[in-house]
Amino acid sequence: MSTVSVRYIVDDVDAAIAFYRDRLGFRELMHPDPAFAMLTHGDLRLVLVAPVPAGHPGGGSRPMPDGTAQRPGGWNRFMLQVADLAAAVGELRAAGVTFRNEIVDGIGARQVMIEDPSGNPVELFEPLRAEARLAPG
Amino acid sequence: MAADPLDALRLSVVPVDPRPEFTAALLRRITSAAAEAQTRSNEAVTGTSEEVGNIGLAIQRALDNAEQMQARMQARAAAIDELIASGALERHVSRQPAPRPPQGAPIAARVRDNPTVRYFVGDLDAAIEFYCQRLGFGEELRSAPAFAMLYGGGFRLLLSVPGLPGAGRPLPDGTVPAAGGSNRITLQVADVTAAIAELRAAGVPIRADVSAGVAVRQALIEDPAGNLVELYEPTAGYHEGPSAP
Repeated sequence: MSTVSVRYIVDDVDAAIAFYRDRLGFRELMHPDPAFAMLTHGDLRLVLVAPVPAGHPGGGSRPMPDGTAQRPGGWNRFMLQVADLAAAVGELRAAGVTFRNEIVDGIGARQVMIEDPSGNPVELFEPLRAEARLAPG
Repeated sequence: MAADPLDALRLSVVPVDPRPEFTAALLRRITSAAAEAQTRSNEAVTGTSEEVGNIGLAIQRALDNAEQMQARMQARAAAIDELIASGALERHVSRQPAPRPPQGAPIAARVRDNPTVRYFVGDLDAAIEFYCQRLGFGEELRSAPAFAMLYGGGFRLLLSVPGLPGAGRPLPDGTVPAAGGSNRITLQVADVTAAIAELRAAGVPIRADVSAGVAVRQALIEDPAGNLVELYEPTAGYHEGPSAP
């Protein structure tokens, strides 16, 4: 078991904390600054940061050296395994969560993409074969 | 790294989905690439002027590839339909939790609990080489040209190719996934300055050089597709995981 971190850029850290905690079962580990929070889910640590100006003590979301601002969105994402994808989708839809697509049956897993309040993707998957399954932790 | 519209003319294998709306989207992409190439025809565009010197040929090649790929995809879809109809797939692809394989079976090594992340990459081989040779990942499986699974840094990293079947498949509205963005995996290293020096010497693009954060020193590098990877070295006050006070 190893704990690893993924960093997501969000517009509103509080809204993101509420989303990941209430919709996806993350636990808040720390939220020491309005622009920073760390959540956990199994071995995954999710570092949520709001864009900060150059010179801000927090180094993870300053603009790039060429001035490019960091921002939410894109397609790269972390994935969460669920036992019953259809049930999870029904629950999240009822809660008003935004979906990017419908359930897709892939080769190793059925999967669907949701968005956090800042528009970052999260993929939920239900394994269809052993190679895709995460062992119970 | 923003996608170059001319990329549509550079593809040796054109990503194609058997659905007609995808083919239509691809045609639009190629057409707009051709238009872009024409507007650039008087500019010195390194590496593209020769390729698009004969725009008609490039488009024809792209379309031929699209046609071939589409035929292959349709054949594959038909074969899968047949398998489903015969029930053969049901026997192999169970919706029930898969039983754990016996100890020592090859599959056992492939069942792990690493947090999983999916990155999009235009060039699967280049990405695999980068993560394995530069960052010490191991290749678990490669389903060329669309997908690979690597393990490294505690992660299970899935690489998917935009436009190809699987996770790279376009959304119902035609939007195709893309590499890049600010979100990223982070990899802990003992000495981030040394790591960055080594990677720089190896020609890896450094997006942001080492800088001090609150409890870490960190830097950002780019994979060959332009995806960010963050390297960090814990400093005073760093919280080591959920069990930390």
